[in-house]
Amino acid sequence: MVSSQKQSKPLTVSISKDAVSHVKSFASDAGKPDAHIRVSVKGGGCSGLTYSLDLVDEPKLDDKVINEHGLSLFVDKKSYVFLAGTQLEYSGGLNGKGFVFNNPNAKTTCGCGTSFSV
Amino acid sequence: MSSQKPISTMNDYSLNEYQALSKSAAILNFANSGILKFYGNDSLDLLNRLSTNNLDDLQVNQGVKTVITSNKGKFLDILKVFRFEDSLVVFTSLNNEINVMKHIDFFTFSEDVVVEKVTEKKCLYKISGPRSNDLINKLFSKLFGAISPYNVIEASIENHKIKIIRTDFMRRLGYEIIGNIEAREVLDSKLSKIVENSAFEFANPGAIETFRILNGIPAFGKELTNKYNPLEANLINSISFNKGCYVGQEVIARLDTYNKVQNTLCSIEFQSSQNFEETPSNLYFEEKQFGVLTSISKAPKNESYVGIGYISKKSSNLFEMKNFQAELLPEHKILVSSISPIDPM
Repeated sequence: MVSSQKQSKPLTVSISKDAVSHVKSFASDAGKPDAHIRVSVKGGGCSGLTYSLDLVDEPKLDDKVINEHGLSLFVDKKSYVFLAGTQLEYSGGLNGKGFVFNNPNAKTTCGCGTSFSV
Repeated sequence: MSSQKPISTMNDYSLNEYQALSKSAAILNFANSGILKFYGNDSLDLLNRLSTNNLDDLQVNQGVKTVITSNKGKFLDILKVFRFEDSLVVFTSLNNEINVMKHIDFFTFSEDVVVEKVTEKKCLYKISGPRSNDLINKLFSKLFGAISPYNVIEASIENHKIKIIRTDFMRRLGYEIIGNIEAREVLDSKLSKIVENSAFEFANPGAIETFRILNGIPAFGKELTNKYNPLEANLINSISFNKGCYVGQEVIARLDTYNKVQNTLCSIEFQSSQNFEETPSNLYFEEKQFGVLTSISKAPKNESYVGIGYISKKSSNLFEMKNFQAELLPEHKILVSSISPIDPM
């Protein structure tokens, strides 16, 4: 008898340690060293949905708040359904792409990496 | 203002209207646009992510033409987007407001955007022709300075606030005048008096359609349909290739980069002994289809026909040929005088 073990995806949004240090660096450069990051999904872009990252001081009403590696990550409530299980990472170096969304819900992602469809 | 189904033949009366469009100025006797109003902080940003042109830098009292496309890069509508202090006003193609609203709603998630159809709450007039400035000055009893394309100036007429927008929509100097519906009676009356006492005319659909076709202006539902992409439809001036992502962008960028646009929008002059209905008709040369005719009109004071159509890129050698026999639908012989690509709008 073969048992099938489905790996359940974590229903949260997480951020890597490296991405946190880059957020803090950007926040400091922007003159907002205590800022946090807000993640949301907007309509449009080449695949129909577009990721949006903003430096903010506080969450909006109904935002989901996730604390990780000393940073608060605010997730827009309506966007959460598209982002559950996403890990926000940072791809550095000469060929790096900057902040990268590893989103298990994304069926297609466009070349620039900021737009996706589910 | 009446709204009639456009026809493509002209009588002696409409010849005056045609000449006013060419040499003087005419008020179009129907406003072929729908009007939407967008409220909310994310309106411009959302439209920017859904359409071909760059709206990021749009300033208050400025406008821009932009195309909404499907995810396969096919034409859905061409919009004129105008930014005002408290809202955006968007002109869609006639009777296409609801489709545009549905498309925008489909891509709206958390954005602060409210879209309202206001076509019935507004009056919209279109004036075209080289002497349009004189007509505008007479209408408002004021001398306006030069207005740049897609700039908006505000005016008033008997306490009604009116916006005058230069859009050159017929490849000639041209303005669109928009006000609340309450201003309609005053504007109708003033325009009628101006026309009675001048060489200006009200242009009816017959003259407008002939002028449109002879000047190679693509129309919604004829040349501008979801069978074609904006590059084929000659709307390259409404496309930004460096603005970033929008729905359909990857396809349009690829077609342009690799020179894969399949059809060219052309003006086709031909003679025929038969009458035509204005429906798309396949064009054949030596039993091989080389294009599709999308609009047909008789040239004024002339027995020849002028059409607009899409010619396959593979048949672009026909641009060099003059006076050759072709077929419009099987067994319908025509003598093609010339086929020439149309300049982008």
